[in-house]
Amino acid sequence: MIEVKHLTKYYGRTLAVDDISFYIDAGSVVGFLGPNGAGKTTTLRMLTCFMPATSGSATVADYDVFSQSLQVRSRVGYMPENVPLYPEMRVREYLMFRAALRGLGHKRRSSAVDRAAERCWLAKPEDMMRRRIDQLSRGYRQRVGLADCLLHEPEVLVLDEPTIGLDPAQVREMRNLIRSLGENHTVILSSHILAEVEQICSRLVIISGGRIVAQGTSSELRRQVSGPSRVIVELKGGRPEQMAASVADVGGVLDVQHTRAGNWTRLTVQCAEEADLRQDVAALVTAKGYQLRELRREIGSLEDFFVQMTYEQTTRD
Amino acid sequence: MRKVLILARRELSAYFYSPMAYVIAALFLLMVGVIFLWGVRVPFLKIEMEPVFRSGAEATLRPLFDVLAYGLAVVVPLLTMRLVAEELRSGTIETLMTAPVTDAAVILGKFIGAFVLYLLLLAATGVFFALIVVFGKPDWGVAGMGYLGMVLLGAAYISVGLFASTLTRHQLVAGLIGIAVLAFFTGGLYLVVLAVPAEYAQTVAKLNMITYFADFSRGVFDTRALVFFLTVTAFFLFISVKVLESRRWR
Amino acid sequence: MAVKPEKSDSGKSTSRDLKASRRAAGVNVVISIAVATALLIVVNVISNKKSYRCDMETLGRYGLSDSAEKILGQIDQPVRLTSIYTSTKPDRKPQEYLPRLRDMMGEIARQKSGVTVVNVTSDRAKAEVLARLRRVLDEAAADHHGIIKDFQILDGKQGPQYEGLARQWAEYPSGGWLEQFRTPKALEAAMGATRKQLRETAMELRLDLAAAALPDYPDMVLRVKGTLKELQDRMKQISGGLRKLSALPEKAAKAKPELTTAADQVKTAIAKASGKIGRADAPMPSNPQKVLEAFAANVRQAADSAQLAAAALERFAGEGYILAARSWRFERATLPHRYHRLAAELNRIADQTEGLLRITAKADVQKQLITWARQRMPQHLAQADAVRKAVNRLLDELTKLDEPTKKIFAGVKQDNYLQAQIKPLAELLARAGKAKPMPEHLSELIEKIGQDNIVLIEIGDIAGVVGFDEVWPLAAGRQTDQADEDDQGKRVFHGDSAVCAKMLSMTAEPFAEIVLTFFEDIPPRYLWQQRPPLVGPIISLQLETIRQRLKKANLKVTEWNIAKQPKPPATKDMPQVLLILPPPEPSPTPPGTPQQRPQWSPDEAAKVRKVIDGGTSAIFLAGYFYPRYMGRVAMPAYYGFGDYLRNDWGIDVKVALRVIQTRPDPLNPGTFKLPIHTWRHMPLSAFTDHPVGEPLKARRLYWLDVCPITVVSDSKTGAIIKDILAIPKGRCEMWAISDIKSLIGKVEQSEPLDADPNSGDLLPPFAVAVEARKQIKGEQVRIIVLAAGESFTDYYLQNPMIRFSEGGTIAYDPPPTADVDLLINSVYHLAGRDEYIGAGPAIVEPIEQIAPGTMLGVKILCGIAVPMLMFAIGIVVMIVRKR
Repeated sequence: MIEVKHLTKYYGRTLAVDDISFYIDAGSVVGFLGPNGAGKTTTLRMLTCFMPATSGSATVADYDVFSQSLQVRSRVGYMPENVPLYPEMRVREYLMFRAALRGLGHKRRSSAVDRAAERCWLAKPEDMMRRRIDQLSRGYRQRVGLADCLLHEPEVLVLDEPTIGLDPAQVREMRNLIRSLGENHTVILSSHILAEVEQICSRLVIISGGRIVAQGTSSELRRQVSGPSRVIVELKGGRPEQMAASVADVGGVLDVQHTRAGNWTRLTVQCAEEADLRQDVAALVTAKGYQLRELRREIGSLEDFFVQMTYEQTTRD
Repeated sequence: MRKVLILARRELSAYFYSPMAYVIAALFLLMVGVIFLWGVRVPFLKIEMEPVFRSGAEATLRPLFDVLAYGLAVVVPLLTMRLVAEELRSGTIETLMTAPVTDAAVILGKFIGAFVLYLLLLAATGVFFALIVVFGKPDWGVAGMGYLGMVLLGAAYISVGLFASTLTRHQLVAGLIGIAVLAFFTGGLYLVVLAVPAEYAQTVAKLNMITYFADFSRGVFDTRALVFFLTVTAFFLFISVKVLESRRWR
Repeated sequence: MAVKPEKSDSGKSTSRDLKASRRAAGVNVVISIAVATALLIVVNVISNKKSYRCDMETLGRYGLSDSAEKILGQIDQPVRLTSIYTSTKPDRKPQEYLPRLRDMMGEIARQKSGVTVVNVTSDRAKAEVLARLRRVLDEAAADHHGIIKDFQILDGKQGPQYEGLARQWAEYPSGGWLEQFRTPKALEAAMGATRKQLRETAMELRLDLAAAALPDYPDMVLRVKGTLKELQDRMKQISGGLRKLSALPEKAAKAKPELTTAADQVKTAIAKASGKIGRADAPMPSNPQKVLEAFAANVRQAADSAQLAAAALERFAGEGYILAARSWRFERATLPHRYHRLAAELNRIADQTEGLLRITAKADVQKQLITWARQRMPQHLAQADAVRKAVNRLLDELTKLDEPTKKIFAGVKQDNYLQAQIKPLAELLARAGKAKPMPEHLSELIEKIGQDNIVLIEIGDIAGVVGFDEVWPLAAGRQTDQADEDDQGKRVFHGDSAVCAKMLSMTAEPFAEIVLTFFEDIPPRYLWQQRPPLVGPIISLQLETIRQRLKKANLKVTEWNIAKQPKPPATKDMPQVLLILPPPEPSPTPPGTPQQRPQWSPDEAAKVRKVIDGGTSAIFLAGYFYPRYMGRVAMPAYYGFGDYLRNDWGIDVKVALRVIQTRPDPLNPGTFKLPIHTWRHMPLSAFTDHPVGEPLKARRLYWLDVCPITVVSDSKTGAIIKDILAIPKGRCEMWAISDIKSLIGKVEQSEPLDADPNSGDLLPPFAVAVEARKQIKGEQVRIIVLAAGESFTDYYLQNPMIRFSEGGTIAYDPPPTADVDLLINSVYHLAGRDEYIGAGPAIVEPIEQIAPGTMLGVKILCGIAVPMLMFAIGIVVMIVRKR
């Protein structure tokens, strides 16, 4: 459905998007995940023909975004991050206007607007359609923006940070909505919150510093992402530093941190990837005669990976 | 084409739903009223004008039009400055440009919206013309040509103002640019003509918008003026479209 | 996998394509903008070359009229139009009057190539224009200029000479010979005065040359001539006088013997008579009678000799300078007079003596007389002696020349005293007399250039000026033709016609000939006692203004005196139009006049008729002719062509009725009052659409002694008659009155007036100017009758109009020169040149009077209500929106 090849974007001297390529099947809900400034919005803008790429190509539904932008635009529904709307218009007016812009004839316009409004839960409060846009809360504005995207029943929906600024209840609503939309449309959304993306999307594309650092389903990614594992030990019986030092002697230990946990000392033992040092640590503890009350292993998570990516991006910048 | 009209209609309603338009319209009509009834006296520019509407004066709106030709060079950019600049500032340009409408349609729609507003303003001056009709016998040919000239002049001014509006997201800057360009091509060139040696004076005068308007204000229909205004309007609309399009390939 | 990374080589080429296509897009845009700009310029240039222009005005005339366009089409030389509108008078503000003119001049420049238009509004620019004209003028007036310059040189050269001469005479030795005539002082003063006059004139000329916009060369040359003549005459007089004086010594010497002898004789005779009568202390003679008789005879002789002496002296002096000589007078009386007095006294004595002797023979009375005479005689003897001495003194003084005077006389005798001065004066005077007269357009230029608000037209080398009143003539009054005081300032724009007509007159050759046709016999002045001039009510000599205007309108003007010529002068390929003045009444020949005088008769009228029937057009001037009174009987007014017009054309010119214009009396509806100023200057602009009069509808025209013209009903002449200027029905304040005398009586008594049809008054509608045309032998012949003939005479067209302004004071308006336009238009029309008839000024209705209350309402409406309305609409819309 959407094919992106070696897309690059320079803003002057700054490289915003660095040679990204991916392919999105029809019908999937894909999340673009990345820290702020990773290039998500830029990529989306390039996909929706708002901005040209510096090099590379992108096609949506087999139409090239640069040379066949009108066809692309008529198949895409785009909701920008800040949901720009005309504040002086009423909701229904706005939607009718947008429907007309998208080429819907008179007769179809009204029903399309009603349908989209229904879908986006704008029909509920009776006067919602009559309200002026500058009187709406953020949540409702986003629903209006979303309704705008749905008017012409596009094949692709592109949503930039659709849940940003919403309260938890609204976030949940939005998530449900997007999930339901995903049944009929190909949806790309971007976010910097992993939890959300994981919940809504079937696939993830992780972008950092303008580059794709990982893409796939959530479980694939977790498998792909291998970060350092940790062993958490809580013991008693010696001075913390001493205990820490002795544990550090265990082979494969990268680092030991110690903190107090009540009367006990908690040691965080960083191990190499894939290493499982529980047995070794237990053996040492027993050998040393320390008291042991907890011994567990933590493997690197997507969050860590994500945080690390963020960190790396900032250091790179 | 339908989309152009839809855009135009939205633009027009945007004008009507904002206080700015009414303020400018009221001030414009006030200015017209003052010139109409009290005349203009600016000593240091050596401008001295009797009121247009007074017993014994010729029954014509011509002096009013002549002053408006200069006055609108300031008023019209103020009206058009928000056309594109506001969209740039608020970000609605994104939804506009990602909708399946051509940039030309966008510009044309905005132009038509502003133009219709301008026509309504001109229609409001009909009050003054009605007074002249009641109290005198104006020359209908002159009046007709005068209004035609105002319409064409307005179209050209709006297209310049629209172009200025595409250049920046700051409305005020767009307004100032528009005023500067128009002021140059009206009053500025007038001064240049005075300063320049005689051989070039004719050519320079041909660039001055007011020269072409003067014919209409006298009641003379000259294709040169018609062509001038139409081509200038078309030109500025064209480059506005190009500026807008440039976002797509810059 | 749904999301796969793709890494294929095709990516690189697509990215290259994208870069290329982006660059291409950018270049495309630049090119397209460049093309658009080029298109913008090219399209406009093309449209400039081939443009269509259409003037949509329906009423006013910002553009050019057809006649103006035609005239412009005929001019093929470069034209320069300069408007000089710099007036500071409040009723001539350039801001108000210039823009329209400027537009029109722009139109002319647009219509016609080769026209330069300059608008001068500052005094500095005006000075530049004047400087340029000055150069042209100086060239054309090179002669004059030269004369003036030479005069100034003369002043420079001769001035010191006169000073020198004055000094010479001041230094004349006192006691010199000429002193007795007070000559040196007189000559010193004369020289000084001459020097002063010369210098003052030269200075005036210099000021005029430097200061004046355009120096009035002819006038200056006139002044030079005057001064030169004065000076020349004075110098000649002085030179001649000195010459005469120089002849005096000789004359005196010659006359000396005679005069001295005569003087001696007087003394001797008196002495003799004294001797006869004896001395006072001598004894009484015995025979008084005889003594007295002898005495009387001697006394008479003495008296005679005194007379002789006086006569001799008078002869000697003649009328010459001797009379001015100091010594000519003795004791406050001239010498001859002294002798005359002496003679008179002596004669009285003789008379008394003889008288007494006749009356009485008584000795004692006679003795008393002798005593008396004895007392008287010594006086007279002494007197005679004194006078004799005086005579000798005179002769001495006259003959005794001193050296300096001898020298002067030497020069004088050779007749070259002051020649050095006189000759240059005479030469320059002769040159000044021969100076070429200025071309007429330049003198008009000089005359008019100083006026406010003019348009200067230069075509080739000829320059002309169109004045403010021609471009912006006063407008006709609105509802009635009355000239109300308050619309004095209202003017209409007549610029295109005025300017184009002027250009026409400057460039075109005459295209028609106007023949002033009249019947006049004017013998030389000294015969007027026996043969008074025989002229009609309008005399050809009174039409000088018309002549000039016709010439300026590019028409040739000739004359045909029916009394002297049987036919009008032959024409050279130009249409002729007769301008026919009313002929004199046929008067009975006074008995006993030997010469046959030409008389007006129907035969003479037939001459005119023949010419008209031959195809020549004619304009008949007629009007109201005052009745002549023989005693109390008023002789009916006579119009020599009345019958002809009635019989041949069906036009009845009622010269016995006078059209008057009155004002309705608001207190007595239906009656009218006659304002005095409309008696002489009757405003009437009720022109029809006839091409002759139509352009004048908006102009203010005044008429004198107008009579009505009516059409004879059922006339079988076949003539079609059209009104040009008519008084329409319903104008009850204007009618034609038949009885002037009673009218004047009523006005004097301040009685109300009304039309009285019973007494012969004629009510409107009637015409005052008509055109008639008919077929004569297959040709169409046209005539025009203007029944306002008096309005074209010089004294009407050259004298200002009097009017009474509001305060009851008398004001003067410029003379009604616009009347001539009717005549000119008529001529153009009959000459077949309708296209030259200048279009009239635009009849643009101004905004009418607005009551102050209404005005206030309007101000509130426009100034406050409308903007407020706009605000209100906005507020309402905002409120509705907010809900």
